[in-house]
Amino acid sequence: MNRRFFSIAGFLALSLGHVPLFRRYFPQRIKNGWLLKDEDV
Amino acid sequence: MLFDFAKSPIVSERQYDVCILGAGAAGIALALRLGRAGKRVALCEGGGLDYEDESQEIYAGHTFGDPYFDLDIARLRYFGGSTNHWGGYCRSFEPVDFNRGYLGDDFRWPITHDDILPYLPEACDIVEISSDYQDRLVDEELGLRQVDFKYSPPVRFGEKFQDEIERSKNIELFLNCNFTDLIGADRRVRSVKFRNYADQELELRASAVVFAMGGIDNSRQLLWMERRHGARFFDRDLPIGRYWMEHPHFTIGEALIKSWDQANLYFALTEKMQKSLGILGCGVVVEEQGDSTTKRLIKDLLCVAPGIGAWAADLAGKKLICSYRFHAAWEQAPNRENRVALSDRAVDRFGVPQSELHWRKARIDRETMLASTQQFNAFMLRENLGRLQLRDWVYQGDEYPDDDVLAGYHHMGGTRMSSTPRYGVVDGNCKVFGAENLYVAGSSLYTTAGYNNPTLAIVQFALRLADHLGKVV
Repeated sequence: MNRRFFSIAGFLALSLGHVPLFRRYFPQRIKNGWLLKDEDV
Repeated sequence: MLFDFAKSPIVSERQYDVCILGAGAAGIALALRLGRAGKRVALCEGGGLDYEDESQEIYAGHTFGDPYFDLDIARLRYFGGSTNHWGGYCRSFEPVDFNRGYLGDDFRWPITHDDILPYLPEACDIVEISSDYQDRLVDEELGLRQVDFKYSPPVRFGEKFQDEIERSKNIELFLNCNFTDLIGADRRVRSVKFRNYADQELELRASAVVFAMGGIDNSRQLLWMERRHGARFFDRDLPIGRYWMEHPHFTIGEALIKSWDQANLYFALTEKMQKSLGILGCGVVVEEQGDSTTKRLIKDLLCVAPGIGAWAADLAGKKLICSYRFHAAWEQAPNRENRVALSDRAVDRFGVPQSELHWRKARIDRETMLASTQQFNAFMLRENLGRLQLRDWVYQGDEYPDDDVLAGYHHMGGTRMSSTPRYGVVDGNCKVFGAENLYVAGSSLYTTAGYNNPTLAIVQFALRLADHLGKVV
């Protein structure tokens, strides 16, 4: 029971908090690979 | 003096001070410095003066993990070694490379940058470059600097030093001498056995023996000696073959950049920024492209961002903007699971198991490339220099493409330096842990890889080892 609870909780935490590796470093606007400023578009 | 074991049998009763196995950049630099210091040196090369298939085939092996080159083409096995086909890019380790302990014990060197720095001028002389490296801080806040690479002609070590070696009274060069075994006991090597391609044998006696057979064969032959002799010559259970490293090389995108008067530039992050981001070294090479690439990029930018696209098109009309390709070459974290192992499927013609190379890139390796690219991109955006378009695989988080450069043909680690046999195979003097007189030279020594091409530092380390051996033999 406990083991199942923790595995589900762990899965949810990972899912909700998951940020793709690329986005950790490039949070800005991207279109077709172009790294843009907001005022560019 | 030169002896070609392919042409006639050799019998030697001579006692050498140092027997060097392998005549590439490390072996030749080491032999020259020892010979000039009056030491009697046997320099033993498995191949001849030129390329031969029967020698090259000794390098055959198997790779597992990420796509990599066939092992029998990644190195050259004849006098001069891989300097017979190297590109000549020269830049040595930086202070930060010896100061990565904050990332974990796997990253700790037993020496500092100051230990190899005194050998830089002579190493630069050998490869015929200036030692005056002019790096430039571009932006302190973003930790961006422009780094200076030097270009060797490139020097072919065999061609350049053959005459001096043949005329030397102290160096004897043995060609077509394939290392097969160590003879001795109680942690001391007394002599080294070799075979030629006609299976004739040769035994040379020496006070010290140096493995300088390259970034894979140093590991393979040490593993083979451990399997054959257990703890006779060195400690058991050293991490031989482990922590093998390369420099991943990939094109990460193209950029439109205005008013830049340089064709090719190299950038890297400062030590402070690398530490702040928790990443390793990465060199970003910015290479100018032609008009067709500029037109293609402007057309694409106009579609996705008309405002900035029009800005770029306007500058292009005035010849004030150019296209550049961004290529990254970066440092891979030392990973115990990346390793050279002995094959249980195939042996070379002398009965030594072939190499198995197990190699993968890790998460921190990708982070190093991404974070370094972002710092450069942040600088471009802040200064409004231009815009960068990343390759699909970079921003979509895909696997690395297998049709790119992949890596630098740089074989590092496997017999790495450490202050403890837990993390390394040799100590700070390049001596194998537990051995009395067995040493290693070459980039297999590297505890961490840095992001720079390895050859210049290989020469520095060889010169340093020569000084040490000069004192103990």
